[in-house]
Amino acid sequence: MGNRATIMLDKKELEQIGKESGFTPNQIVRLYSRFTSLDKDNSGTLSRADFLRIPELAINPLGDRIVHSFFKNTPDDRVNFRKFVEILSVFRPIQKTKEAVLNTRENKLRFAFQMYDLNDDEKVSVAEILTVLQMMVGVNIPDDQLQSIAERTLLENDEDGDGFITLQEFFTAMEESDVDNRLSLRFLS
Amino acid sequence: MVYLAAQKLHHATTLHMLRGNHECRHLTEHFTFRAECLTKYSENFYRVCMETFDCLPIGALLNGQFFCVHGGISPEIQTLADVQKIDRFKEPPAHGPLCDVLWSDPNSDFGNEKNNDFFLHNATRGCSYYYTYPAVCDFLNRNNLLSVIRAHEVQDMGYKMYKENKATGFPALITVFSAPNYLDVYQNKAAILKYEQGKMNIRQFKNQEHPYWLPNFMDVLVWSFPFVVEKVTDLLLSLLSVCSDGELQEEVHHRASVVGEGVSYNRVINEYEIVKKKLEAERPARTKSQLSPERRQLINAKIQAFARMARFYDILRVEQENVSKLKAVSPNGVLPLGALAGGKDTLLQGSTSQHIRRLFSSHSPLFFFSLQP
Repeated sequence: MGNRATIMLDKKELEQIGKESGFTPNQIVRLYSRFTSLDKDNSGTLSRADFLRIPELAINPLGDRIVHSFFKNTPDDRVNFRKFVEILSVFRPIQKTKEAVLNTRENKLRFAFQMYDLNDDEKVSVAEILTVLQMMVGVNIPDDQLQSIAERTLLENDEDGDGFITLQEFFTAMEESDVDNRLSLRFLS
Repeated sequence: MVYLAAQKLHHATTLHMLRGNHECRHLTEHFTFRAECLTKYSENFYRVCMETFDCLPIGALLNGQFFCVHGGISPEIQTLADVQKIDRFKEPPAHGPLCDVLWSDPNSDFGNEKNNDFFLHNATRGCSYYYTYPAVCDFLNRNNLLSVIRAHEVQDMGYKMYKENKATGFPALITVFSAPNYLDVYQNKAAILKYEQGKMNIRQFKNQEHPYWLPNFMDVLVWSFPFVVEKVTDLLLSLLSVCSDGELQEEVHHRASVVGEGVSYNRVINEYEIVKKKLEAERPARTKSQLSPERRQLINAKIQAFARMARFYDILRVEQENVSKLKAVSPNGVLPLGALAGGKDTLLQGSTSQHIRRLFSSHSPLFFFSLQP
């Protein structure tokens, strides 16, 4: 099962994907190996069910959101290998020497933003913030206190006063934070 | 700050604020005011606040009778004119009359002093003086005043009246403290003094609950961000756990809870296959019957262990909801040992049993994993 990888991808495809994503050929091969092991029906694409089969997803409160972000805007609600790599490449660490391709700070923050934006309307409302907070603290902080800090955050960060936090406002709010290192995975090569 | 400034603008001739010892650069830097300014506004805003403080008057004369000041009197101030001579438009220095009026305190046995000293070094504050009853009476009598009204020290009841001045029959000194439950620690009442038509009234009040604040003036997005990041990276890591060829050859006792890697259903099956092949390859000449009983037992145990692992993941997948429910109620977020092995029934029970524990007593390294998010 593990070694089909080298057979299915040809050199040209490897190069192309490498250029688009910034991954090395070895990394792409490993990703392909993973992709194929997820692809139960050998269709060359992943369905939502393929993701949902991953045990860790069941216990991750943001599991649904993360799967959703893979499937956003995909044809027929299936993820092909290119898309798979594209999303994962956002999480490559930002290297000072190389120019960031897809793993820009903005893209990383955009992915995080999608975690808050539950209804995909490109804006985050107080209710959406509250939902994430509740996931995070559980019963440790009473709802009305969470509500008041969520509202205060909205007030502080909502520059155009529309009652929502847009992507730009989110970027500004996160200016100080150490996104680059946090939303990065070290891909084994 | 902005609220007070607005009030002052609105009631310019009828509202007056006196400077206290905290209204300076030294203390606002030491405590959190400067940090709050920088977080919420800017360095410029802080600078403006400090300049405003420099302008605050240091004393007031109420109705020609009461000398109001934050700390108290000073050895360098004999008359009210001396107060007016002070250049107040600066950061209070470490000594001198400007420092004293903001920092001095009454002596601890005010009114019961054994000798006739006027000013003693103030050890509590590390600067300025304690003033004594004789000192205050002397000041009041020289200036034809009724009393000194000041703050600066927390009072349990919000105020304190000290010993009467013999010349007037009125307390020589009054302390008013208007911040209830000071520092969220003192649990004190607060008081305000209302002087109307020659009558002095004291109103006390208790504290209100704070609105909920996050530490370091964090907002909710910044606060929740690490959580979101952790969940995302956790999941992606489990998505990506691909072993290299070298790792596939590793021995059976591979802990599932390797930091940063998830273990997937397929990897378990992979490893099982590899190990099985390896074991068979190791002894190509021998048939099953030629294996020593110990060896055979070990191999069986390994195979059983893998079968159990595979079953776990199956159960986990099928019983997702019950697993999350169980994890939510467990004290440390970890499934009780044995819950998964028993399948749906134990998950529903949410408890372990002797029988299941025994199942786990052997081949323990494999089961040292926790399903922590």
